[in-house]
Amino acid sequence: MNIETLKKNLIEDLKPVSPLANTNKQLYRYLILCCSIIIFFSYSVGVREDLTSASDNILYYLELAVLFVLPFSIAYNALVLAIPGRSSVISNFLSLIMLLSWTFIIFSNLGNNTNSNLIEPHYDCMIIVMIATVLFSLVLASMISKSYPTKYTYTYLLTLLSSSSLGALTLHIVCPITSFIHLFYMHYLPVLLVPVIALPIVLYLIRKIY
Amino acid sequence: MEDSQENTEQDKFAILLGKAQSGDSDSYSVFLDLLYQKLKVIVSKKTQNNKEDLIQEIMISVHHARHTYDSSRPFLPWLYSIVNFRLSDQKRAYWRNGRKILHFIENTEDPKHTAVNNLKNEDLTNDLSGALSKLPEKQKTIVTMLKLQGYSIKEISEKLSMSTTAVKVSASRAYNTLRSILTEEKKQL
Repeated sequence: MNIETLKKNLIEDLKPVSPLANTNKQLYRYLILCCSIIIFFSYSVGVREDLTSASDNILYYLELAVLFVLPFSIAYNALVLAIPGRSSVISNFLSLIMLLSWTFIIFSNLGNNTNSNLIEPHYDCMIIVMIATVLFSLVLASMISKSYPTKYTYTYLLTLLSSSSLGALTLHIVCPITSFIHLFYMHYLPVLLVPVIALPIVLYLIRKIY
Repeated sequence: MEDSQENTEQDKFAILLGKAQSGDSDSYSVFLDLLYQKLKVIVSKKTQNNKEDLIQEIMISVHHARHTYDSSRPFLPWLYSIVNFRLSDQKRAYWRNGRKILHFIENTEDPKHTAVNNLKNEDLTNDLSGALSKLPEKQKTIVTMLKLQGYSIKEISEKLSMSTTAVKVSASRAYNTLRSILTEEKKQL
């Protein structure tokens, strides 16, 4: 196509656009939507019965706090990265710190937990984490698609990581099982595996759509 | 001095794109003219392949991404991010097409089926010979052996002491160069 024809076409196609909402505003919207989804899960599945006794444990609170900050700092990274030419060093750093803290808490939990018996595998946790991840991913991906991600592999990896860690937060509120085998196979492993497995599918779909 | 010049340029882009976001087509027209000039400089530094196509793709991307620009921020980092994105996209497409060309070469080793051997038009053959003579020596030898003398890739790799992959890559590069030479000549006519 001739450059003059292209310019003419672009000018003809010009419509007023509203500039993208501020990243902080987008994050608040995401936070509200995610909290609603978590509340929905807590009501439909039921909050863990031992919540009062579990909350005596400082590690429970610590993990809850980390699991709350981690997905939103990663989501903030993804939202910023979806805007061309932008990146956030602070949220990158915060995500890394939270990720390390969560790893530390997981190992502390495993170290303190001597209950290795697993009478039933309780696959429902895996199902919950997967459904929750899909829902959270859809919410964040729809927000990201309004921007123009130029590093889309990394952006969508962050989206999936944020969603799967929100899935872990949901499980942390609803699942009372403390056996480390259960925690490892049904809570932590799906959280790590879902982004790895889902990323190629998401990228394939994006390439098909755009 | 250079910094202040760049800042003035960025401000100009920022103001024009800001007005274009609200639908001002005159500002957008000026913006596109300036953008085209700027992209010619940026793209020439980054690649030598299909520059015009790349510039047009970037301009389309800028058009689609215009709502993501915040006029209170510098314009060039925003633009460079889109340029790099499109550039890596072009590289991916180049390697994908390269593979298709290699597939084509592998499936048309028989000289009876090659396009060059089927040419009847004398002018076109002359054009091709002219373009062939502009290729680097090794690429010229490979294309001649592969397409005119009917050697297979394996035979060429043995004769020239090269790996089959290196022969394929050289052939692919030669075809791209031939294509751009012939397109350039066609434009001049």
